[in-house]
Amino acid sequence: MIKIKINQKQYQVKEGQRILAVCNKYRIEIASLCSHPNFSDFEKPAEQDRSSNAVCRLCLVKARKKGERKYQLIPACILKATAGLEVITEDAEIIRLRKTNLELLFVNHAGLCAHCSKNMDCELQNLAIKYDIDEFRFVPRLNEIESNEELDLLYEKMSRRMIDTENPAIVRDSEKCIHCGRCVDVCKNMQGIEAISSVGKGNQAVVGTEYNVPLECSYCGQCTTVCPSGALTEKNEIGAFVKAVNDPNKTVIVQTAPAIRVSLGEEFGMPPGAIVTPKMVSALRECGADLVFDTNFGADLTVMEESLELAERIKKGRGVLPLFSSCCPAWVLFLEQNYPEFLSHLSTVRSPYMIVASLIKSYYAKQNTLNPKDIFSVAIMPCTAKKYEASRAEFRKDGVRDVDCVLTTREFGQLLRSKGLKLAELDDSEFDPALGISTSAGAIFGASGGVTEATIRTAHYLMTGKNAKEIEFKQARGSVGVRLADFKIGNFKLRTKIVYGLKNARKVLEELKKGEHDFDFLEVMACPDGCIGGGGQPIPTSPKIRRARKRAIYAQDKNMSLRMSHENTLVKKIYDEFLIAPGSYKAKKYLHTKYHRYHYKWRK
Amino acid sequence: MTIQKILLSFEPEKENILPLLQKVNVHFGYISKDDVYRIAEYFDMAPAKIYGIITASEILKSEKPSQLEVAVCTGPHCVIKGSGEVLKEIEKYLSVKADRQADERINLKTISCTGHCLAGPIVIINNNVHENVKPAEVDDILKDYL
Amino acid sequence: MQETKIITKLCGKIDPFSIESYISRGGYQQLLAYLKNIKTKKGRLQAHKKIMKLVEESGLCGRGGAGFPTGEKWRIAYQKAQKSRQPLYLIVNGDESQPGAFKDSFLMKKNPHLIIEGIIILAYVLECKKVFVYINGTFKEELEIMRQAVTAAFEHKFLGGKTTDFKERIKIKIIQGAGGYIYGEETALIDSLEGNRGEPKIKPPFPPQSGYNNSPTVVNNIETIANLVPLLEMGAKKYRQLGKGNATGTKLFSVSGAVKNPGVFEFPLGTSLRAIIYGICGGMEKGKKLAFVQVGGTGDFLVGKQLDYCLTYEKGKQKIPVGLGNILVVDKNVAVEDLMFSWSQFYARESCGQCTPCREGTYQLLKIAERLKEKKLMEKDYENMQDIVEVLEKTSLCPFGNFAAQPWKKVIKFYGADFFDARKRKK
Repeated sequence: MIKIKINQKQYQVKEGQRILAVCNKYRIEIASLCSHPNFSDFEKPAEQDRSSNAVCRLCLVKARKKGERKYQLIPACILKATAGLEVITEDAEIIRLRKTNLELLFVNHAGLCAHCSKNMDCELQNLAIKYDIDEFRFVPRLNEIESNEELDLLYEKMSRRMIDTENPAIVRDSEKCIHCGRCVDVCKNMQGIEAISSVGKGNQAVVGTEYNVPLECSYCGQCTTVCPSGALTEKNEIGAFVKAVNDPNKTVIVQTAPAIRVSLGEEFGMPPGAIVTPKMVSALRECGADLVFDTNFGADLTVMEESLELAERIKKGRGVLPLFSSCCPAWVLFLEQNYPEFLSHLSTVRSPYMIVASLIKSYYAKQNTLNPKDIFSVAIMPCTAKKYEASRAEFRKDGVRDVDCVLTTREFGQLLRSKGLKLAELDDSEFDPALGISTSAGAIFGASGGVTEATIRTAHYLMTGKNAKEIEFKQARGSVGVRLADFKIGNFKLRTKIVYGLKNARKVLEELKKGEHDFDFLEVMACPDGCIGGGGQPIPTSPKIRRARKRAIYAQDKNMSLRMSHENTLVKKIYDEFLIAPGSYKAKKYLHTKYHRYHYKWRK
Repeated sequence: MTIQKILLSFEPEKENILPLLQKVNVHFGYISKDDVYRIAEYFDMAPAKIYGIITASEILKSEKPSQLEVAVCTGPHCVIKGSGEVLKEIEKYLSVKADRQADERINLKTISCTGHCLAGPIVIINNNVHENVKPAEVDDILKDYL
Repeated sequence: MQETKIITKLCGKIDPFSIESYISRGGYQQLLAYLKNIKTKKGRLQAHKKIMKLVEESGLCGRGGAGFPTGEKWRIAYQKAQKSRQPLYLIVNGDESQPGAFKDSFLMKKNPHLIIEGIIILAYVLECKKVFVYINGTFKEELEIMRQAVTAAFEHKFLGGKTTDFKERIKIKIIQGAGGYIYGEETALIDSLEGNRGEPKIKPPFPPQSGYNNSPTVVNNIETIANLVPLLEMGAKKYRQLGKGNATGTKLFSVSGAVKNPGVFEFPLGTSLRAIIYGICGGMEKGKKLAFVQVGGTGDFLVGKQLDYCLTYEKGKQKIPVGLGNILVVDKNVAVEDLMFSWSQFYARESCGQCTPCREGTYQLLKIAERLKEKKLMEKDYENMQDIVEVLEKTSLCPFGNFAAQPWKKVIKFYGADFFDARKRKK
């Protein structure tokens, strides 16, 4: 630890820590639009790190190293703490410079705020308010389009402005882009995909895709969680939801993901990790949902099927090992796009919400004599890739989609706010029992390692005939991107690898390609720390916020009496009444799916 | 030569990406969308990144060039030598404005300094460099290309 | 005043396509002498020490504009490579693309082997296996000449092999640049070589510490490299006698604009502008009157007495920073507005688009220049221009932003603030 001075006040910090991270910690506000706590180098950069490039130039502070006389302007995001460093975060000159740079960035935004989905929730806008930017003295660099003719011309000539609404999950509007490069950074350094890049140069520079084709990535949505303006947002489906609610012929059935209940509160100013399950259910009823089911129940079924699949692959040699988890749609799509040769490793079990959705329009519809066409099935998810998944052909029966609409946590928050509902003031309510009883094995799906832990709990029972003595498998938990965890199941040692971030997944797959593998089960979640850090989760996000969400997830687990999927009475009931048994032909039909090599739509 | 053959003449290493793009650009006159995907696959790089490299460059083209590509240097030296007048003449003769959207037929643009300062004003037409261009000569020079 | 021809000694006297014509004039003698000395390890280390000492003593500094001491740069990179056991890379920067600079192009066209010989010697000194010569993509002729020169040097077995203690065969790769001013910035150039877009990176780390593939990298201008062989020929003492003060040796000047004989000329550092313009350039073109002179891209507007100041890398009073050595002579027939527009257009076009002040600021300056040219300036343009110039100078990521601000700073310095007032839109 060393001592530094920020604004005349002394602080104890780690040597080499970035000043922006220090200020973040001590709540000293510094305007910053390109650095982000999600980036791996935010806290402490590697010695020769050249990946991060301070480009927004807003976090400039004045700094003086020990022994120096003069203060120098330097971006706080790359300034490293050294003993005796003195920093001034704001003075008249710094404010003036920041203001001019902000004005330059804000020019292109003139008049766009009112109808932007990020309005009132936008970093750029907040800074504009803070720095009192109210006049537009510069000329927009990316011109607004005035007529349809112009629009055609622009599309044809692939000009600078681009609105991509064609892809199923993410809306990209380059006019709102301020070229901060955060999306490029997460896409490259977290996911290793680089679906978007800086394009053009000089006054033509924008962030975009090759030849302005619509995005065709894994749709993880991490770019939407870091975008400081409204340039990258999830595809808004609130309209479809509201329309269905207002349609008297539709039965609106909503299910909510495990990771929602620990993050939704943030949309209403609660601290990260506040558990709001009962209020969330009643909020959904207020919004007009006829029934509210629990995705955790689907997770329990996923566990039943997946642990059987794992046990069979290990014990009976049916199918290849290692087995890959299939709960994360971004991961599945990534595999279909980049590594189709590994598709046979992928568990065929549907992701939890698709299991619930499938049962809603089959089992539940039959029991209650409802026509599947009259059911409007909604899923509240922490994820943008689920929007894509819901549109897949495999999840469609007779032209009817299993899931009609996916709303992200953020959209759900927006919906509630638009109805004037205040989450904290609502009464408590419970899930509808028909498909709403779950164990905490389903609840921990929300965190990275959760799928593995839940699966092991049941696999232990399946393989040895009895439950494990200690069911909290702590070796599955952690916050590192690639973890190895071994489990003792009877005499058998099960080796698992738990990964988040598709860039990490790519590394593991490349090793696998070379024939090096030391594990039997691979869990991959595309987003940092799993679904609690999902692409549809509330903004802002940071490792600290995710830690709080994770704590809440595991606290939920501790407090529940039923903690293993095979002990869920509803699971047993559904198998008895409808699905026969895990792995039966009926289970295969309703709970499993198929994968295929991905064919790019816009690449020809 | 096909794109495949050009690709195979390079090792798929990062340092070869620029030389390869140069070669494809010279051979086909521009780098098409299809080619970008082929190159991306061969080099195991993201197509968006390759497009980013192409568009950052003055030489590499991502679109098919127009039939008549006219570039007038408006660098400081050429301005002193009177390239402003030359540009006006060319605009008049071709009846298009410089640096507007190009069409299939004509693309008139201004460029900044190609290092041929001693022979300014410089006009580059379809990759041929014309030196010491006088406003009065514009008609004669352009006539040959039309 | 006569030129002091040290590195341009053979320019025009030999055939650039013929290695023999260079050899017949004493070419490659320094390399052969060096190769003889490095047959044993001891000899090699001694020769290394000797050359490093020579270069540091000579006071040679980088000719790419910044004027960093060359010997120091080599030493840092060499020591880092030895310590970290990483390969050392040598990159020769021939991406000359500042308006009005054409001296590297001149050198490459007239005497490519002088550069190649320097490269090979330096590669041996630094124990560097791989050299990149990054040449401006629009220089077709230069590229061809350099490629042929490398092939010829290879055929004459100058690129090494097993005869010396340094067993590696040195690879010289001529790279056709992507085309753009920004690639001349060393970190952008390295980024481009690594297969990226070519965007400047934050310094530190500086390339001698961590450059190409995170290895220690020496990036030298073509002209700097061309100094090596003449320096070896004449020795440090004699070399130091050229030039003035701590700015030693000669410099190539590209003179363009309204002079009788524009071109590339070699003079010792410390020479005055007047000596060049009214000496070898033969004064102003007929019927044209001198308005001002700009040195090193967008330097001060120089007139009168300032023409007698010396051109040097040293800082101080009555000294003109020489930069790349490009001299632009502007006559009174040229409208300053046109020149401002030309500069603004250049910077707006050539910005890499990475950081806020440069991407957005240069565009706004271009728009102001457009209005300036059309005499339609708006009320706030002066104030806006000043704000943008300030953020460009103080907050941009690489030196480019600072350069982009200079034309505006200089025009106001020269003409005063009322330069704008006279050009406002008439109400």
